[in-house]
Order: sequence, then C-alpha cells, then structure tokens
Amino acid sequence: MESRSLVNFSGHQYLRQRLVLSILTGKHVRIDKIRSEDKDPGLRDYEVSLLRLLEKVTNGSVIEISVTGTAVLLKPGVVSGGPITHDCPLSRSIGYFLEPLIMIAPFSKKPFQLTLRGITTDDNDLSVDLIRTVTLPHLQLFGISDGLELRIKRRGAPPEGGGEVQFLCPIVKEVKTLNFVDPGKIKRIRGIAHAVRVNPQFSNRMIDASRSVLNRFIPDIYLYSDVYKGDESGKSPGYALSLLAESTTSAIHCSEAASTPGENPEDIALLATRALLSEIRHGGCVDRKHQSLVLLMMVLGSEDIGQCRMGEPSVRTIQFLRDIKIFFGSVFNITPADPTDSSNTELLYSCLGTGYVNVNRSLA
Amino acid sequence: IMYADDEKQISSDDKEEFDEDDEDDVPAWKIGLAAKASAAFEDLNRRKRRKDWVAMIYSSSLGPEQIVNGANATGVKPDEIDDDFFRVNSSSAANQDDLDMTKEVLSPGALREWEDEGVLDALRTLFITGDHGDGE
Repeated sequence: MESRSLVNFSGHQYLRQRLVLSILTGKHVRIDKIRSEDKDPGLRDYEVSLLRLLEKVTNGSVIEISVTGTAVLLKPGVVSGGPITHDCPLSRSIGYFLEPLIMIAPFSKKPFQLTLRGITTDDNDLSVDLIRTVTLPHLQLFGISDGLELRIKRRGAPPEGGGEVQFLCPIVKEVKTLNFVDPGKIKRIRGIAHAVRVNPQFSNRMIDASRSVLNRFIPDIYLYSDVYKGDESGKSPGYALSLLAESTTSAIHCSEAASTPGENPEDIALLATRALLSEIRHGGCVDRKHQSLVLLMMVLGSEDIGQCRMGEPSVRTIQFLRDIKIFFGSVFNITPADPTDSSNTELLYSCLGTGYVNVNRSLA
Repeated sequence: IMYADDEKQISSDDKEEFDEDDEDDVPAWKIGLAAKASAAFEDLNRRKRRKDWVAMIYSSSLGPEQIVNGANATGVKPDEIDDDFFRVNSSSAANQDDLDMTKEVLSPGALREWEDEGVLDALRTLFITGDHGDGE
C-alpha cells in the first residue's frame, strides 16, 4: 500500500510541480539527491519556505526533511485554504510561491484568502502583474472565475522587497473540459509599466520605447503607467514593463522585463517588447509560460477529450508532461495543428480528462 | 588497389570499410564521406520531418533540454582535460541555469532580430490589422 502510493524523484529541479502533483493526487512523494553534489548541498531557504507554505494551506500534511537537507518526503493532507499570511524570503519573488498555489487553490476546502509579502517583480518568475492579467484569465477558461482576484497592495522590488499581494480564489467542484483550438488574430495590446523609488518619468520612457515598436502593428494599444507612492512602493528602487497581447479568441501572450542595475528604461522596454513579439510568433492559444497550468487543468477536466492548440512545448513543459504521466497516468496526444503546412510548428495537445472531483469541498 | 576503378559499384558499407582501412591512400575529401552524407541526410530529414513529440516525451530517455534543442546538442562533452585527480564538476557550473523558474532568460542578442524591418513585417499577418490573404 505504502509503496504503491509513493513516488520517487531525484534532484532539486522541478520541485514545485512535483509537490503540486503530489498534493492533487494524494500520492506521497520523496525527492532525494537535492543538490547533493553541490558545494552548498540541500534545500534552499525559498524551497523550505515553500514547503512551510504548503503545510499552512493544507491540513494534515507531513513533511520530513533529512538532516542534510538533501532529501524531502511529503505526505500530503487535504487542501484547506482559508485566510493565510506568508512572508516570502527575499531570495525568490512572490511569483515563485504563487504559481504552484494557483494550481491547487481551486480544489481547496475553503476559498483561499492568501496574503503574501516579499518581492513582487523579478526576472525569474511571473510577476504579480502577469499573474493578475494573464495567469488568472487562464483559469477562467476552466470555469474558475467568480471571486478570482489578485490585489497588489504594495510593490516590492528586489533586493529588499516589501511588497504585498492578496490572492483570492473560489473553490470549484470540478473543472470544465477545454476546447481551445483557434488562436485568432491579435486585436489589442495592454501593458503595465511601473517604477518605484525612482524617477516616475521612467514609466513613461518605457511606454514610449515600447510604443515605438508596437504602434506599427495595431492601433489598440494601452500601456498603463502604474504609480505606487510612499509606503506602497516597497523598500527598493526598481521598474519593469509587463506586456500582453490578446487575440480575437481571447488567447493571451505575455512578456516582461524588469530593471537591472546599469540598464536604462528604454532598453528594458525594448527587451519586453521584443520578447512579446517572439511569444506572438511562437503561436498557439496559450502562452509558453502558461503551458503547464493549462495542461494540468486539462488533465483534471471532466472525463471527456480536451484539446488545446499551443506552440512547441518548453523544456519545463516536457518534464511536466512526464510528471503528469507518473502521477495521473494521463498521456497527451500531440499532433501537428496544421498537417498540410510544414512550416507551421503549432501543435494540438489533447487528452482524456481524469474527471477530478474536489473531494475536499464536499467535506465542508 | 582497385579502389578508384570500382568506386561506383562499391556499396556504401564497403566504402566505409575502405575509408577506415586505407586512409592513407584516399584523398582527404573522401574520408568519412559516409558519415558526412548521413549527417547531411539527417539534417535534411530533421528539417523536413516534424518531431514526433509523443514518442520523444513519453518513450525516449532524452532529457527535456535535449528534446527541445535537438539530440545532437547535448551538453555532455568529453572532458578534454585529463588531469588525474581533479575533475571539474560541471553540475555546479550549470547551477545558475537550472533554477526552478518560469520565465525564460531574455537574451538581448537573440531578440536583436526584431531590429530588422522585414522580421517585424512578417509578423503582421498575426494581427487583425494585417493582410490575411482572404480579402477581409
């Protein structure tokens, strides 16, 4: 019994997705050889913090970390949700912690009211702006919408952070089957430029630089300069531009670049803008950074064939598909979206939903 | 040696053997012809034929990076420095790159292609304002 429900992995990579899949399936997961060859072996502070956070949002979870920190065992409990506050370490941004929680929050016993404090934008994980404007709309595709919200109360740039967000997520009994095969045409571009504890003109400079490239494509461009002042602007100076392009069928592609020392706002804006164009060219109905989320929700969908057109899978997505097979036994069929056009690299991902039902909810 | 005369009739397998055995007598350009040919063929094939994603993801032992970047572009290279005792641990060098992060690292170099007007114009068809060739 014990061995049947235990899944083993090695290495520190892909930790978040494995913990998420473990919690959703109830299967125990043991991960060993975590940076065992590294000169600084074991779990990092942010990984331990994530485990603690997962402990907070669940009830009855058992987490065992070996003395050296190179192995961890998770016996997941039920997702309980409710009001929770967590201080994220400054080694990773809030996005690192929020991304996995978004995957499990809809299947909670009580709706999530999660307050996270820390860094709100960096170059590693989705910023709170992209999560609010891009990630959450992706959940709406699966019928998770009423009361879904991310409030950015304070911004916090690295290294000192000081930001705060509140994530509200409704609970669902089950998620809808997805059938999203028409990417449509890009009809509008939206963006958020923010600058905290630096010259407020930086936002406008980013917007001007970005428009100099984007104006040629489409008239419907609105780049918003988001102003946070005083206590709301966190502890460190920083600025960033987040962009998204929405199609006629509500497919969303996004990109983002955050300030680094020595770069001027124009360069940051051009980086984000060009990354958006690359993302648009990549095609499909789902942004590369959201492939995993959409594929997971497709697996959790009702027992029907779900399908979605996307670009080629990213490195992370490939491992995610493999891990999904290990935990759920679900296999995706991946075929060329347009077999007649050999230059088209878009793919059609389809799978049979597992008919996942939120059992935590029925207990309430 | 009959090699030069018989060249046309010799099957590719035989030729390979000859290449290996009589390397000294063969002109430099003929060395490893079979390998070159097969490499070129593979290259062409790869471009022509689409990747079989299902097989690569679920039934191959290739790492995710290898699948995306092509099997030949493996990061595993034979150690060229043969110091007896000390071996450079490549995993610690790669540590920076394998952070569990969702965003891909933006490379200003790779994005520089967008400075080109032609590349920008090629994207127009994906916008509602672009020309779709269907007389919108």
